Amino acid sequence: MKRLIALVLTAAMLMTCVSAFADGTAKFWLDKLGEPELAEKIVTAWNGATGMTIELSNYVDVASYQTAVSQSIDSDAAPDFFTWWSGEQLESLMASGKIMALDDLWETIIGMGVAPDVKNAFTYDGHAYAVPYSLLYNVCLYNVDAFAKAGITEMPTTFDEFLADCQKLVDAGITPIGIKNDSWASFIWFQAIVAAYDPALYQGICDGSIAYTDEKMVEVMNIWKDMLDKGYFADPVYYADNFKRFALGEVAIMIEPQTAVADMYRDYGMEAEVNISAFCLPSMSGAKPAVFFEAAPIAIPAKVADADNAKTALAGYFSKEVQTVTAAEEGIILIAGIESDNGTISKITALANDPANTSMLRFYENTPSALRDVALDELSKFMYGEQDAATCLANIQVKADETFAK
Amino acid sequence: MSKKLKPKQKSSKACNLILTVLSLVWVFPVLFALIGSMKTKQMYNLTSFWELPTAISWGTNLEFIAKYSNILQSVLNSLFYAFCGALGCLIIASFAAYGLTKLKIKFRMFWFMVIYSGTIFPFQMYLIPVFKAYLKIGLYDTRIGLIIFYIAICVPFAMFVMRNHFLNISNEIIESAIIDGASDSRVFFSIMLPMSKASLAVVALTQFSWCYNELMFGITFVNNNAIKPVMATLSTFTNNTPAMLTACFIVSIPTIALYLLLNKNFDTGIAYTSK
Amino acid sequence: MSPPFFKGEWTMRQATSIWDKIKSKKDYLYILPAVILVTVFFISSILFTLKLSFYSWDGFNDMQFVGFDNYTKLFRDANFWVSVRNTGIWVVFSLIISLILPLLLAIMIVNSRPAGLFKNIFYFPSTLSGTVAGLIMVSMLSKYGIPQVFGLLGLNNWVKDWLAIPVLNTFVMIFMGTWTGIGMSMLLFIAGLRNMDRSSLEAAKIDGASGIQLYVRVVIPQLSTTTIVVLLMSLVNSFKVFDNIWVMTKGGPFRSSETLALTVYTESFVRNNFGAGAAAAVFLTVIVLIVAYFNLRNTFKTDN
Repeated sequence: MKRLIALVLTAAMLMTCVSAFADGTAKFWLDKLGEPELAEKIVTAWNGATGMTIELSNYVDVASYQTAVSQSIDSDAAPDFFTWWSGEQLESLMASGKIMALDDLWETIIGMGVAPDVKNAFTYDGHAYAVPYSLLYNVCLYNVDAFAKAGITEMPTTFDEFLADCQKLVDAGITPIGIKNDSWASFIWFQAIVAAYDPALYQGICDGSIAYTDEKMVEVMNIWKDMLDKGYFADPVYYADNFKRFALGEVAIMIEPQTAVADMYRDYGMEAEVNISAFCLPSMSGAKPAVFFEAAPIAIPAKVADADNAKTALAGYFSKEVQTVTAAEEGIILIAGIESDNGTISKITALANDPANTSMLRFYENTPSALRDVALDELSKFMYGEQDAATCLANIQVKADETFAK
Repeated sequence: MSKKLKPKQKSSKACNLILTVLSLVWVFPVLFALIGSMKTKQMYNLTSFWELPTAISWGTNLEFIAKYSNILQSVLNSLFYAFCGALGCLIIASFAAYGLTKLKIKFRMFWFMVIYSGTIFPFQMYLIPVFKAYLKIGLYDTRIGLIIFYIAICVPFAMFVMRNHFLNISNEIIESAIIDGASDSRVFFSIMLPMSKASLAVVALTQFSWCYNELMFGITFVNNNAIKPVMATLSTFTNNTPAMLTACFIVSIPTIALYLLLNKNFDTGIAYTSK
Repeated sequence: MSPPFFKGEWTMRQATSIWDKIKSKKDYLYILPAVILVTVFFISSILFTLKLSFYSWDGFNDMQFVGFDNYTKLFRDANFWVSVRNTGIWVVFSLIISLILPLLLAIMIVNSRPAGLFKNIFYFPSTLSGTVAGLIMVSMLSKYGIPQVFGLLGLNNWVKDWLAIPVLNTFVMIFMGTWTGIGMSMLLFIAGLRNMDRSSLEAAKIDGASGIQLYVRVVIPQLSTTTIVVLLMSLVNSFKVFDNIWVMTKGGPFRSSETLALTVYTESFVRNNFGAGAAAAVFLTVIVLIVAYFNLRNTFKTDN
């Protein structure tokens, strides 16, 4: 047995490939890229821009990804950079000191055209610890043909017009709004309606200054309930089915980021600005309509073998070459001066940058995670009609009291 | 002994009828997947599943897979891992089962539970400790590391099946062999194993399939594309359902082949048991 | 046989006992590799998890000792009890299905022609990977899959995402789980039936037993060892059921279809509360251990 163990261990040592750091390569781990075709296009552009070799590993299982990153981050098996989740998960990673400050990299990429205010989302104790992998803007996407069929020719500019359009769609036999059944997705229309009611109310519930049980919130929930009762929302279905019924015109509107526009073209053949287009959900009070953004971070392990090498490689992601690919294929545009050739994606970017609209961090990252998880479940129950608005708000407020007391 | 329950004609017909109906139900998802795999991605997304494709897109789908992954290498890797995993666990588990049923070991139940506990725990909880240890001793991202893990995770269940089988082998046969001067190992190799073909075949097949189809540990403990198991490679195609389905029919061939190969063993083995 | 060169009874006996001792120790060598592997990989992981369940940990920062906090929080969480309930439903129903269906199939297959073909058809789904089977299930159950067929038959109320309907979704998933889940049990039962002791069967036939009676009184009792294997296997699998649910509903909507294994997973890896996840894992393990113990106790009675 001893000999067997010795044999096994020797074999193991022989077979272990110690990740010798060859110059000019960088390992990039991520959990967001399920498209091998796209991955290859990005890598080709990236290699071309930097003259380096980027080795991309996409993980499909969240447990595998968490384990691989968290356990290897102090070792030489760690990637040179990796994507993570923004909000509290990034904060705890920053607090642990296991990723490095990227202030110098930020200077470089701002020089390359990245908007400086994105930095705030990744800043902790005065240092920026991550750069953006993506910047997504959630707006209303609509099926142009469905709108035409319902006789809607102009985009709504007030919330009442929006409701009237919903009614027109219902009258034309089309369910206005399609939603997916993922439990986490219950905040999407919640945040949209709250912000349409009053953007300050949205900021208030996120930072704890306004209670969920506030009478304004009760009113918001009643508006939502009214929309549900009038049949403006389709039943929640599997996300791919939601895309499908949107493409088939069975539902007319969904709130999704610009990556969905790319998907709708690639997977369902919807031509930008011909079959699909976008608008901002108008405000009820005449305030600026809201665009909800989310930004996924990329970080570099503090103990990375060659920090300069990693930073140089990572800067390449913000090159014109790579950004042209991500803009065209996914609608992700991180630097100024790049236009997507997809008209609807350009339109969404324009909506986000239009001073007539207000850009706000979406609920998912904007609310402490313990509170958020409770809120998502409660809102889900409300949407499924398993719980009334008052109980829903009261239950969330109990958790909010506990969370914001700390 | 060899002739089975002689079916009455009537009940046999009824069985055939029920089984035929159930078979159709069982085959339905396969047909569903088969039709799906013939479509292109866009067609798959937009049509109803019963609508037949205008052209069979297996070629396009396969080309897609071959272009963006080293699928052949991954299949070979997985065949190797699954073979080593199944063989390793069979050897170790049969030894243990033999020890626990026929040899003088105290606290058998305790030892049994120690080994069996490996199947009881939720598998995800192994990820972090094993990853940590593998990184420390250099087994992370190696073939041998994955193989040892697969052997280990298959041992408890294999031991459980083999033990139940060995319990059925009468002690008289063993005792008479020992009186004839056979050693423990002799008894094991020339009596126990030959009498256990059916169970060995079932264990080999299921554990081989399990290792071959395993995804979670394969993507966690290995990062290098050259040594990735097949499901880890296939998992990169999650956004292209038809390509994934096509690939699946193809990569399922080894497990089906093994099943057919071992098929004749399933019905033999325990027949030697005298009760 | 003791070595012949010892003189006197006392020395002989002592020598024999030493010899026996060595010999009996040698028997342990047979279980040693299995014990080592399991201890190194799994017992150590279980101990790590046990320790983790008394700490608060996010995966990166230092662990902080919190005593029984994780457990008390867990037991006070209504969602946890929903998971326990769902796990209970899975265990009870998938046990019934995964015991009875394979047994019935095995009996029918043994009595049918062509037995081989039927066996192959029912075993085939077991060779598919969980990922693929999940993919097939999800697209079949999605609104545009089977529910659409009911729509064509005029049953418009059925055209829904079945997996999005709380409680019903659990039963749908249990049902779908049998598609891939029964292959091995069926093989074991077929092997058991084929290798049955004929004499008692003949005796029962002479006594006039026939048909169902014959099965209930003679055949099924003879399958008891196979039944124990299948029972325990299905039991442990249904307690730990994860893949099917994760692929189909991820425990949703609003955690209504979550089971304990999903709680372990989501608490640990999605919410980053590794301590809470560990506590749920320990709870689950203790229950399965107890159940396994009572199932297996009988098979050890005859041993020593």
